[in-house]
Amino acid sequence: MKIVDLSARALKTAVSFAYEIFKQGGLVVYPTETCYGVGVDATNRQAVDRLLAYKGERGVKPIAAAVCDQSMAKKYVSLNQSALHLYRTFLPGPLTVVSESLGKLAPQLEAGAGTLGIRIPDHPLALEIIRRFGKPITATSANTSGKKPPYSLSDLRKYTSKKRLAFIDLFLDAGRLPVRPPSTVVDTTLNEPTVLRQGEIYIPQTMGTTVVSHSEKETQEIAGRILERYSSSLSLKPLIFALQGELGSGKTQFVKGLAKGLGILTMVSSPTFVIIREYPYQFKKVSGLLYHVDTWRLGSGKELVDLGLLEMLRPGNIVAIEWLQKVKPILERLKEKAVIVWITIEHLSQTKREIRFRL
Amino acid sequence: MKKNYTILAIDTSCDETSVAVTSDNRVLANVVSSQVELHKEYGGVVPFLAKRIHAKLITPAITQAIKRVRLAYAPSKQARFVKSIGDVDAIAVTVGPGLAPALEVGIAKAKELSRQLQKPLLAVNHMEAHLLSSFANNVHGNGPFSKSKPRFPILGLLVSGGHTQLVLMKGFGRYQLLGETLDDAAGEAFDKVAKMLELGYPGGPIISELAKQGKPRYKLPVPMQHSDNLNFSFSGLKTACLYFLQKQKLPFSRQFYADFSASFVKVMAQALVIKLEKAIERYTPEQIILGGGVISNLTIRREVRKTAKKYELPLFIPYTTKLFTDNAAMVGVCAWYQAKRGDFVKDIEKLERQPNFSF
Repeated sequence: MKIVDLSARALKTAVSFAYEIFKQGGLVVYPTETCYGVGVDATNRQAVDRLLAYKGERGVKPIAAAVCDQSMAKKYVSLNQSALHLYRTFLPGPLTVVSESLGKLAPQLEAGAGTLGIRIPDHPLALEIIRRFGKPITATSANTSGKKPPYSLSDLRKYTSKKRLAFIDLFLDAGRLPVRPPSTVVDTTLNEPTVLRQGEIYIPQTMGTTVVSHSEKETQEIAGRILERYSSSLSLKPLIFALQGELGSGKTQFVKGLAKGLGILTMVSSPTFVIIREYPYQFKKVSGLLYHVDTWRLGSGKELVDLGLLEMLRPGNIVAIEWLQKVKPILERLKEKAVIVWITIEHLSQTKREIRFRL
Repeated sequence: MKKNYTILAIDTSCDETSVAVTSDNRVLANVVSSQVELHKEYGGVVPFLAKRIHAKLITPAITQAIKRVRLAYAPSKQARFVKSIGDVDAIAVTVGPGLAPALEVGIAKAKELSRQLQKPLLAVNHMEAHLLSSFANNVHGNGPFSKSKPRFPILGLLVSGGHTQLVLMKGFGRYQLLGETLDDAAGEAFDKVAKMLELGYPGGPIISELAKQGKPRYKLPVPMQHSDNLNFSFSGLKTACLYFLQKQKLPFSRQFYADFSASFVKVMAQALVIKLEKAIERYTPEQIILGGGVISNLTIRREVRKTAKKYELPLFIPYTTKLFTDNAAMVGVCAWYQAKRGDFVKDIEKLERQPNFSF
């Protein structure tokens, strides 16, 4: 193991040493804003095999890749709206964003579903060696499996067997790093960003997925897709769609889309006057009622409880509520009883609408 | 069928608790405990406690209806058969469409009376009742159809807060739904545009009043004028109003309120008449009937009258405005026609609400 003391040597030298070793498929331990990480050329299968041999038995846990910026990330994963939002807000920083893999990195790095975790370390040296190398490197903590993450060379030596240490070709020594938890891992391929591992960064719950609709028809289609995503546990728990949006934003269109997705053939028209409309449906072996509720004419949310909101919340039933502001405090208390999907529709122009949804 | 067949009719389909007594197609009493007054006390915000209010009001409304028959018409031979509730020949109740928990209150009461008094029960479609409201006669037997016989097919246009429908009536009990609203009902569009103008609730009648003092100088899109079917759509008009109003300078002048209301009403009437004419051309009816609360609007009635004249078709409108909005008298009249064809509830225990009832 070659050790380069960064306090004594110029950054440039360290970077070219790392470059040579990556090219040969070797292992480099490098500093990040969390702990020391171990990197190999993420496009090189053999190099990744060597890395896995060093790390030891670790089950099916995937390994993230480190890139130097968003444009490098784009070559290897497809970034959706929520991913882009996270990149903009938190990267570089201690956050690993899981996206759909484009299949261009060593397959051992991917999780089962063809997803890949990408991170941009907030450390100048780490960024520089990746930039120089021009390709992603692996971003996993430098410890072997089951051992503590190292924050210094002596940590690594203390916790790692000699046999394993022999795998490491280069150690870029930046001294003792401040102790910070490993990166937060967020999956953006799911319906909304899901935290897989909590680190220093907290993803605010108000974030959701954003899509843009250009027509009433598209709003209906989007509703169908959202229904598809959240309906998996419908036979166990009722589903509530809490719809927010100004007059004319397309809330009723959204519910029409839900009905279409559920195979309801009856005309779904505005429930404003009658307050609640109900439609029986059968969908993927689940049968129940779609309740279309409009609180526009209600004085308070409590009146909806009087009208039987709680009785509607049976497994299999779906309750879509327009003008939910009035019932929001009541819904907050129903979190245990139902899966609640919060939908916000905003006017972008005469025909364009932004639809945000989250759990 | 015996003469002077008396029915106690109940309608609790949405906001109103209404009880009527009819004798054949004559209205002896029509009690509507309108909640609109109650709404106003809350400063435009509508407390919707229909279920509780219906439950509270239904018994007093029944008592009131019977009392009115006895007091007002005691000398008349039309009413001498109804001195107490036990004297009616049958009970009728609206089973749908409407707000489920509200409908339940009326249905439960009707079942109870039917059992207690050992009277047959008639289950009425609220929309059929609106359609037949022109067939209602006053206590002296005078009404739109008292001097001319129905000649089928009759084309019906129903325009209310919750519905906008074109129905072809081929005979009593034989109907075909030709078109309906795809989204908002016409009356709802009135109320929502009134809300944009901050005119309070229910704003529809206020717009109608303001329109009388204005000129339709603003251009609004006529919804669905180029569509080939007989359906209506008013959500696009609502959105167009919203955008139009956003562009206007605040505060609105009195003249602006009047002119904008006139423009809105004009477009509304056009939208209705365009489809009415299409239906006339396609189905060549013999007569036209109107129903629903929105036909109180004079512009709409005038435009429909022009159309009827153009096609040389007799037009029938209920003899009193009390029959336009939700009421139980039309339910009693509709039930009488049902009784004539033997359309009684066979198993009272099994009678259930049908919130989505249609033609």
